[in-house]
Amino acid sequence: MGKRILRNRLQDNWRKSKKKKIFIHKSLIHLALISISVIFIFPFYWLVSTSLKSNEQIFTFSPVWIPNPPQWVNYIKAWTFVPFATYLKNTLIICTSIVIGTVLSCSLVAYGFSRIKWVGRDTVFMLVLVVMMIPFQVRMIPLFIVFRSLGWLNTFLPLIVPTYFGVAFYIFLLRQFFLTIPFEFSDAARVDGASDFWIWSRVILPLSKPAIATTALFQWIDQWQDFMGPLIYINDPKKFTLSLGLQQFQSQHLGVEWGLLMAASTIMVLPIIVLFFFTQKTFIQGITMSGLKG
Amino acid sequence: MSILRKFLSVLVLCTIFSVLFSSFTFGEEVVVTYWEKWVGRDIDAVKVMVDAFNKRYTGKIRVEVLSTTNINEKTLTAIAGGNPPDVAGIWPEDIPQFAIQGAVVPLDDFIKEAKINKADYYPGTWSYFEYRGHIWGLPSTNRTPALYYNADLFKEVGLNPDRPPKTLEELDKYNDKLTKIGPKGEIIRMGYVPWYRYPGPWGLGRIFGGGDFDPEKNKWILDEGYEKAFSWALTYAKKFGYKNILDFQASFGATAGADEPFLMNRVAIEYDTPFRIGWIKLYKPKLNLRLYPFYPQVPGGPTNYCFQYADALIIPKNAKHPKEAWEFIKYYNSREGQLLMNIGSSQLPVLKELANSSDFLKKSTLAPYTKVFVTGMNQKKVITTPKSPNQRKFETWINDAFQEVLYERKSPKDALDELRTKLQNDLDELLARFK
Amino acid sequence: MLKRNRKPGLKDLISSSKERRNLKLGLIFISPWIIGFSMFILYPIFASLYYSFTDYTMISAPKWIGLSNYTKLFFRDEYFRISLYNTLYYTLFSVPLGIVFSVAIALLLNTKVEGMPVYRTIYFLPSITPVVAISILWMWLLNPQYGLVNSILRLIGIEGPGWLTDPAWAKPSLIMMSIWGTGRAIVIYLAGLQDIPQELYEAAEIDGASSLEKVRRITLPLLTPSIFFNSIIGMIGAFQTFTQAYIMTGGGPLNSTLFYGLYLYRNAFNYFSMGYASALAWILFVIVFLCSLLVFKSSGRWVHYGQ
Repeated sequence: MGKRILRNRLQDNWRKSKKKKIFIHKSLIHLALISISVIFIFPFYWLVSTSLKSNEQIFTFSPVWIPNPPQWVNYIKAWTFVPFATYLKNTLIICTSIVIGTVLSCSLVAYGFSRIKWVGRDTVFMLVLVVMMIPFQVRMIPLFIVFRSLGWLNTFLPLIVPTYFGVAFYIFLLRQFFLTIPFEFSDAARVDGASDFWIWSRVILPLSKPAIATTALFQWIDQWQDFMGPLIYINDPKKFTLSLGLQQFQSQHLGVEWGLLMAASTIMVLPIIVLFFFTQKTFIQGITMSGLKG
Repeated sequence: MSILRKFLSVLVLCTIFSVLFSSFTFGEEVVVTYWEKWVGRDIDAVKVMVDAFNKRYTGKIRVEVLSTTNINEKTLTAIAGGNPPDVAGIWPEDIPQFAIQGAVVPLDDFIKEAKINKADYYPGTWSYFEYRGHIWGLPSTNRTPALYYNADLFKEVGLNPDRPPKTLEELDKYNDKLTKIGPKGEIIRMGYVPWYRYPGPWGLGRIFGGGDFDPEKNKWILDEGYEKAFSWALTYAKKFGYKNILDFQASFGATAGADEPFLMNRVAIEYDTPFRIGWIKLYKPKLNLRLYPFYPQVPGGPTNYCFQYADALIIPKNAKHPKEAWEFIKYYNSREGQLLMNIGSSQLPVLKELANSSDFLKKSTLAPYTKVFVTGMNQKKVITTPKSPNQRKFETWINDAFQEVLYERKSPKDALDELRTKLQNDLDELLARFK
Repeated sequence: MLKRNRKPGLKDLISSSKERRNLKLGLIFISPWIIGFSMFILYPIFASLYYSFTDYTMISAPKWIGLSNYTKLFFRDEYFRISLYNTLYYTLFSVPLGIVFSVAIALLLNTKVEGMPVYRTIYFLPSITPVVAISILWMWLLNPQYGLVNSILRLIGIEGPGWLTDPAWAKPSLIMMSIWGTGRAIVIYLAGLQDIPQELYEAAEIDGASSLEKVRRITLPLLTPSIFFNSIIGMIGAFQTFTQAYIMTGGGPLNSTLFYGLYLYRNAFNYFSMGYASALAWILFVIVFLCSLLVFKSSGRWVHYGQ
C-alpha cells in the first residue's frame, strides 16, 4: 500500500517537474520570439511615426517615440511635391497588364508541361528551371537594344510583353499544382470529345483557383516594387512607376527631407500591407506550394 | 469560351492602354519637351519663363517642362534609346563627353543665323560651350558662389558679424571658434566643412593655385596646388575626426530644402551659389545672413577671381523638333527670357549687360544680395571646370581620392599621383575609342 | 501499336499517332514559352556574348575589338576586382546567415506556440515590402546621428558606428537588412517542418533523445531539400544585388558597396560601354554557374531526400 502511494507521489512530482520544464521552455521561446518580433516590426512603426514628425522631432539625438503633433501635412506635401497620382496610375496599369499576361501564359504553358504526356516533356521542363538561374544582367543589354530597335523604349511594353510569354517561376508553380489534379477529370472530358483547350479553360483553371490566386498575388507584389526594369526602360518622368518616383524623390539634390520621404514611402508600402491582410491565406498557401519541392 | 473572351478583351484593352499612354501628340501645335534638373521652387521659376514663351508662341509651339533627376544619365539613355527630349538642361561639364559621342546637335548655324554675339556673354560661361571648334549648346543661367555666413552665430561666439574670414588662416580660426562639440564628442555645429558644397576637391585645388587639366594637350595635371589643398582639408579631418564629421554630415538634410545645414544653424559658413538665397527666404527668412563675394584668400593662390559655373541647354541628337527647340533656346537667351528666368529663380543672367543693369539688380529676388554675386561674376579672372571628355569620372574619382586622404589611407601626394595616372589612362582610352 | 512482348522503343513512341498528336498538342500549349524563350532569353544571352567582343556605345554601331574587353577586365580594372569582392563578401555572409536565422525562427515557431499566425505575419511582412521603400527606411534607421539604431545604442551607452557612411560597416549593414527580409524563407521552412511526420519524433523520444538531438537528427536532415533550394535561389539573387546599393550608398563609401550589378549598370548606362558591360555580364554568368555547380555537387553530401 505504502509502495503505491510512494509511486504515485513520485509520478506526480515527475509530472510537475516536467510541466515546469515545458513551461520554462515555452516561456523562453516566447521571449525569444517576442523580442525578435519587436525588432522586426519596429522599423514599420518608425516609418509611419517619422512620416508624421516635424523636423525638430526628426533631428534629435534621443528618439521621439510619438510624434506630437502629428504632421499629416507631410502626406499632402509628399503627394504634390512629386506627381504620385501619375506614378500610381502607371504602376496600376503595368501591374494589372502583367498579372493578366502571367496568369494566361503560365497556365497555358504549365498545362502543356503537366496535363499532356509528350516526348521530351520533362527534359524541356528542366530548361525552364535552368532559366531561373540566369542572372538578369546577362540578358539586360541585348534586351535593351532589342526594345530600342522595336521603338518600345520609354513605353511600358518592355515590362509587360515578355510576361505574356511565360514566366519561369510561375510556370513551375502552376505545373506542380496541375500535377495534383486527378487525371481522371481530364481523361473523362477527353473521352467525351473535349479539346485540350476546353479542358484547360473549363476543367483545370476552375480547379486551380488557389494556385492562380497565388500567381496573381505574387506577381502583383513583385511588379509593384520592380525598380531595375522601369529604371532601364523608362526615361520620361510622366511614365515613372511608384518605385522610380520614390527613388527620384529621394535622390533630388543630394539629400533627403526625411519626414516627406517617409510619408512617400508609406504611400507606396501601405497598399501592399493592406493587400496582404486581405489575402493572408493565399500567401501562406502559395509560399508553401512554391518553396517545398526542391 | 466566355472566360477566355473576357480575358482576351481585357488583355487587348491593357495593351492598347499602354501603347496609347506611350505616345501622345496634339494637333498642329508642336510640343517641345524640355527636361530640366531643378526641383521645387527652382523649377517653378523656370515655368514662369516657359509660360511667357508659350503665350508668345500659342498655337505654334508649346514647351513642356519636366523635372528630371540624374539628368545626364537619363538624357544619354534617352538619346541612345532613340526618344530624347527636344531640349535637355544638362550640366555643362558633360558637354565634351556628349560632343565626342555625337550625342548633341551643334548650334553653330543656328547661332550665326540668329546673330547671337559671344561678347554679350560672360566669357567664362561661353567657354563651356565651345569645344573642338563647334558650339554645342547655350547657357540657361549662371552660377557663381559667394561666401555665406550666419551673423548671429558669429556674434554668439564673439566674432565681428561684419567681418567675414578673408584669408585661409582666418577661416581656420573662425572655424575653431564656431565649432561646437557636444558632451559625448559629437559635433553639434561646425564653422565650416571644407568639403561640403562648393568648391569641392576640384575647386579647392584651384583655389590653392593648382592646375587641373590642359584641354589642348588632353593632359591631367593635378599638381602641388592640389596637394596643398588636400593637405589643408586633412587638417580639419584630423582635428575633429573624420568619422565625427561624417556622422555630423549624415544628418544634413537636402541641399534644396528646409533642413539644409546652413538653414538649420548647423554650419555657420558656407560657400554656395545664389540658389541658396531663395531657400533661405522661403524657410528661414529670419536668418541673419551676410554675404561676401570671395572665398578666403590662400597664400600663393589666385586673387580677385570668380568661379564661373553655368547650366547648359542642349539639343540632343535625334530630337524630334530641333527647330522649335532652338526657338525656345533663343528666347531663353534673350534679354527678356533671361530677365524672367533669373528674377524668379534667384539665379544669375548669362548676359553681362543684363546682370549689371538696374532692371535685374532692382527686380531680382536675390535682393539685397544681388550686387555681391554680380561683383563676383564681373571679375576678370575666371575659373571654370575642366573641359575633359571624362569629366564625370574625374568628379567621382577625385572624390574617392579625396576621401582616401581624409580617411588617412593615402597621403595627398600618393592619392593625387594615382588619380592622375588613372584619369590619364581612362582619357587616352576614351579618345582612342572616339577617333 | 505496341507489341506486348517487347519493350517500347523511342521509335514506337513517336511513330504512334497518339504520341505524335500529343507532341504537337504539347508544343502548341507551350508555344508562348518557346517564343518568349527564344526572343527574350536565348537570343539575348548569345547577343550579349557577341557584344562582349565589341566596343558599343549605342550611339554608333558596335566595333569588333576581340578580347580587349576581357583583358581590360582582368588586368587593368581595379573596380572589377573590387565589385567582385564586394559581391562575394555579401553573398557569402548574407545567404548562410539568412538560412541559419530563418531556420532557427521556423524551428521556434514550430513548437506549437500560441499566436503563431501573428508571429508569422510579423516576420513575413518585411519580405513583401517594396525594396525601394525598405532601402529608404533603412537609410534613415541607420543614420549615424539621428537614426533609431544608434539612438537606441546610445541609450545603453554604446556609440554606434557610421553604418552606411563607414566603409567597414556598409556591407554588414546591407547584410543585416537582408536578414530582416528573410520572411518568405521562414514561411517555407515552417511549412516544411510541419510536413515532418510526428511519428519520427515520437519514436526518437522513446529512444530517449533530447530536444537538441531531435533537431539535429530528424528535423534538420529532413529540411535539407528546402534549405538547398533556398540557398541556390538566395545565392543567385545575392549575386545580382543592385537596387539597395544604387539607392542607399551609390556604391560608397569608398566603393565598399560597389556591387557587381551596380558596376555593370554603370558601365552600360553611365559610361555607355555596352560592350564592356556585356563582358562583365558574361563573367558574372560563368561565376554564378560555377557556384551553383559547386552547391549542387556538394548537395549529395548533405541533402537528404525522402527517408
